[in-house]
Amino acid sequence: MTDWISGLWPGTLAFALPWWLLAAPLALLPLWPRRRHFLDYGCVDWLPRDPLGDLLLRGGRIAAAVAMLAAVFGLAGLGQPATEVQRTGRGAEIVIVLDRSRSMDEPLVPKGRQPSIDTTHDSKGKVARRLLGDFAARRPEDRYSLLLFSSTPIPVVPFTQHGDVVQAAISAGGIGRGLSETDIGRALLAGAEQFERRAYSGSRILLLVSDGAAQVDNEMRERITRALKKNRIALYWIFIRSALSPGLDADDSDSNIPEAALHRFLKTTGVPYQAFEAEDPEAVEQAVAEVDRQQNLPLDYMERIPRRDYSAWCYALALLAGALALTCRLLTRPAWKQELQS
Amino acid sequence: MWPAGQLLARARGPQTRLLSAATALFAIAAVLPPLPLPGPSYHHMVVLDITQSMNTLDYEIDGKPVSRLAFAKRSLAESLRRLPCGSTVGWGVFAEYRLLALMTPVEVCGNYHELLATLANIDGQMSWAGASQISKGLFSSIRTLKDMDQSPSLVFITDGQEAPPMNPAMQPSFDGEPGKVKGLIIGTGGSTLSPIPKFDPDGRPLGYWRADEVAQSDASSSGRGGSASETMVDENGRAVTRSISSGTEHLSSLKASHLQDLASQTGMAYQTLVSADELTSALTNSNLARTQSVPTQISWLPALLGLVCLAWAFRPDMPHRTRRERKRLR
Repeated sequence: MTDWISGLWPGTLAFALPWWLLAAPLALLPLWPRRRHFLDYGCVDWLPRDPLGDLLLRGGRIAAAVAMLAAVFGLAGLGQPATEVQRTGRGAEIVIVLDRSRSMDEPLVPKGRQPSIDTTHDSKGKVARRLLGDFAARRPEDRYSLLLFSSTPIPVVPFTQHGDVVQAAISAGGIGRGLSETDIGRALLAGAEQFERRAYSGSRILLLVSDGAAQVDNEMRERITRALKKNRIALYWIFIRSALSPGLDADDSDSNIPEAALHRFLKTTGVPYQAFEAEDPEAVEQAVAEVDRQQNLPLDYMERIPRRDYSAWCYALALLAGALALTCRLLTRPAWKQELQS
Repeated sequence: MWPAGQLLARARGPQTRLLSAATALFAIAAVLPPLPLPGPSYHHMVVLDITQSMNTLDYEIDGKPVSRLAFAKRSLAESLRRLPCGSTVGWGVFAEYRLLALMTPVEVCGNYHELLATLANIDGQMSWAGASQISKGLFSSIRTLKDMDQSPSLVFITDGQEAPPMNPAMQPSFDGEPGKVKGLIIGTGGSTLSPIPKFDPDGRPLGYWRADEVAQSDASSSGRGGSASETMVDENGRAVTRSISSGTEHLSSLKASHLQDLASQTGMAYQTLVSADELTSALTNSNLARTQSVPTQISWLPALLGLVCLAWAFRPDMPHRTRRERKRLR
């Protein structure tokens, strides 16, 4: 559609369907001298000149021309093209890094319960998607970017404020089984790099949603720390506990439990960091409250203003001008003949 | 000054009638809200093959060679804007033997830029595995879509290159109901064999795949290679001949006949990707359309009629002859 917009006043007004303007010369018709409606009147001595009548006649024709032009403008779709306006508002920029590995298909078993084969518990992925969906719905002013990961990070949606797009990307995570492996290190790095080459506009958050079942080597840890610090990102981890996992705060000094090791590493990165347990019914509330606390900085963002259509106003003008032309018509005497006939 | 009878007489004049009609029509045009009229809409889940053979440079944009994937993305972006509002599109990618959904279908007009941005993100680097088992991938995509609510039609964009190659006698067969999920297979690629570019995991080019780097024949029909000679049999007990390797699996062309075969098995349509225009008409095929009421702005209709009324009211004088003149000419 945007291709067909030709500028009238560039940036302020444009036509969506400029081909209709080819009909614009029709508006000259009422101004065309004609004999049919012409009253032979003017230089007969016993009838005085009638300036009011002349004015009405001419005014009526001009009004008709204006009505036709307005109608053509309406048909051509006069409107304000879609623009971007810089706004300052509240809200954060949030990169959601969502685990799509096979382990997320496993059921989320409540703490202290044994995993069983025929379980009725929701899968971890489903719980995660529900949490994220709630989170995104609760904070509609934020801009979200979504990244899936398994063996590779898979960027899905770049920063957007369209809630339905974010929800669509989140729900797409529920289609089909998970992928085989998990490389949480590369995913974190890719998530942090989403903020790279992006003007700092305050409140950057990386929301990791994962069961964390993967080790991150030292080199990758350094790169992640650097990227988080450089881009000033706050990190939140919605942790989805695997069955039999001792949890994040397991006292394990030889770092054999990957999620506990990741938790310890993330605490040392020096950026604001907090973990939330997904089983906790309050997790979303907590996360929302925590993000609320973070966003002290006003956020500059570009808001896309959709095209505004003024064709209804054009038709309204056509209506007014048409009514005026009609009034003039009624007030003046057309050809003698017509009135004699009636 | 203007007696009522005279006004009434004037109001019946032909030009006055046209003027009043035009004014009334403009009034309707100005206040008419968008009406929910039944119109066609399309609901597509577009699945792009992102395996390595899709990097083959056998398309051209502005005289420069581009990959099949790049051309498909460009054509899709073009087609997207020509779908009627109210249609929905979602994205998915195919690699290994399965579909990975990236986004469930969302409305196209309101989310056009988001859909484009997501499409732009799709590339071969997303791929999580090297294999490319098209038949399996297509069948599993159909199963997946069948379970989605208001199951969208499947648009599967691929070059049909199976890697590792498949023995024709051992193809997986479609066990679903053909035509249950409507859809379209879009074949990409040229008719002649071209080399497939090779990339490292970070997307840096590494030249082209060589003949000794890819599986040239399918492993399943070669048997175990034990000391005793054995013959593979298919489901009906017939011996399966070992597929003869052509030695060209490192090169790629559009496997149109394979894709056509898959399309007829699954009750889908097949179309070769040539241009965005043809893709658009394939995507807006009436077979895939769903009729639903779409808010449609029809105020142009009374406005146009009003304009015609005015134009007729002020039509120029025809150079017509009077009856007497015509008589004289005879």
